[in-house]
Amino acid sequence: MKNRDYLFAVSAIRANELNLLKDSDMEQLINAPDYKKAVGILTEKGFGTPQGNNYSKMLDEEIEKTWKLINESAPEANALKTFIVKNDFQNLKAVLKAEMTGNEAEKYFVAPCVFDSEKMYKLISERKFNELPEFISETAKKAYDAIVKTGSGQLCDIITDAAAIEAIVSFAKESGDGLLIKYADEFCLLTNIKTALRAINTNKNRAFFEYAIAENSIIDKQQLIDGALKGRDEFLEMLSQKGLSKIVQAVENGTSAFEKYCDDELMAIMKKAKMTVFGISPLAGYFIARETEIKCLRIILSAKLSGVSNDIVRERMRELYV
Amino acid sequence: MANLGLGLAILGAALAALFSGMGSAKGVGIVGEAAAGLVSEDPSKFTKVLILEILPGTQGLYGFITAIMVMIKIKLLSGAPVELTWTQGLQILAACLPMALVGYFSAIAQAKVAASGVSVVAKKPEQQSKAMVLSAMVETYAVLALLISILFILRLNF
Repeated sequence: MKNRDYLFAVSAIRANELNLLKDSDMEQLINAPDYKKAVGILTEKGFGTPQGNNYSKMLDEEIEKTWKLINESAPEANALKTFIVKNDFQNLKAVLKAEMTGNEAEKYFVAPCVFDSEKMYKLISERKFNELPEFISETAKKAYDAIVKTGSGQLCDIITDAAAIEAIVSFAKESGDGLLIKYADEFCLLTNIKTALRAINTNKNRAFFEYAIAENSIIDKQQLIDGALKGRDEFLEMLSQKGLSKIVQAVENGTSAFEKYCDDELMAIMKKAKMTVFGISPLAGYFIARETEIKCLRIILSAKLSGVSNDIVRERMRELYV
Repeated sequence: MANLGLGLAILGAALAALFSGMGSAKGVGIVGEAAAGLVSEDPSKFTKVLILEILPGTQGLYGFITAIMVMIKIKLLSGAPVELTWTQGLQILAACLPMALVGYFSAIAQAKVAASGVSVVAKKPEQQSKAMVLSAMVETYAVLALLISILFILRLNF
């Protein structure tokens, strides 16, 4: 696709960017006296109304609406699969676990996704792994074998999680968009570091790392594994030597601070899309903007229900797109 | 050789109209696509983006004017064209080239700026005039090319 083919979609998205929540809107929501008032503010701003305390469904629908808007405006949204392919792997996990436990998978399905989740369920039930799309078929088989042979849900999870990251990077490269590729590489690096830190804390062995860490162009997989197997301090030292001292600083500030740092770093990359008119990156930027907005709303609404203080919520707010 | 001279002059006029027209058609199309995207979400901004869409259309008009000037010069409109040597015909053809080439490329360049201007209108409609000024800067070179082509045509003596 030529960059100019997205002109219609980019303008349509620009018009919708005006409806994105700003820092002042988030502050208003944080200051709302209770959950009901916060939901009222959101409804005034065009969000749906949640059923009682179950705001999750309403927020999921907002993401689906965003995807629908992008899909309808863009001549083809193939390149944007980068951002939704993780949901396919989420659905794969749900299907595999349902296969093992005999429970229903449907209620765990996440949308939007690249491949129809019901169809995936059917194909896996019939063990027709080869008929799954190429980006997921091998992982599905590998994860299925792992869960059958070992009965370990955790092994199945780490196989699918690492494959999801590699699929994100692969779709980004396929798009040919520099910003998307940069985003995917950075996402892969940050997720690898998160995974490595969790594995270090739980004393996992090399085999675990081999499964859980995805190939990355910023820090080589084997180098990252070798560093992680030496222990937390050595691992952080290695990151510093690679010029990633900002990440090390964020890690040392605690898990929540690191999570926030990761999201803000990725947002900083996508914010460059605000200056772009041609190409798919403005659409990607809008999708990430909506995802981040929804993430912030989840934090605020769950805090309203559980009575977490406003200061803690403010600390956890992510950098917004606008 | 008299027919060759006239043929070259007509070719010059045709190229001026053709290239400028193609550039404008492409340019207006580019901005039109961007404008349609915005109007699909916010129809109230139609008038604001229409002005931006018109901007790359002027090159087509300039090409048309250049072609008419040539036709007047060689008295083609009166039905009794003057006899031209091949060098005179070539001079007219050369005179038309600035408008033909600058018209084509400037229309597309202007369209890119105007399409970016649509994004400005989408987010900050009150800044529409700035988007127009940015796009109009490209127009300068189309106007200069038109002037040069017309001056050449008018100053050629035969």
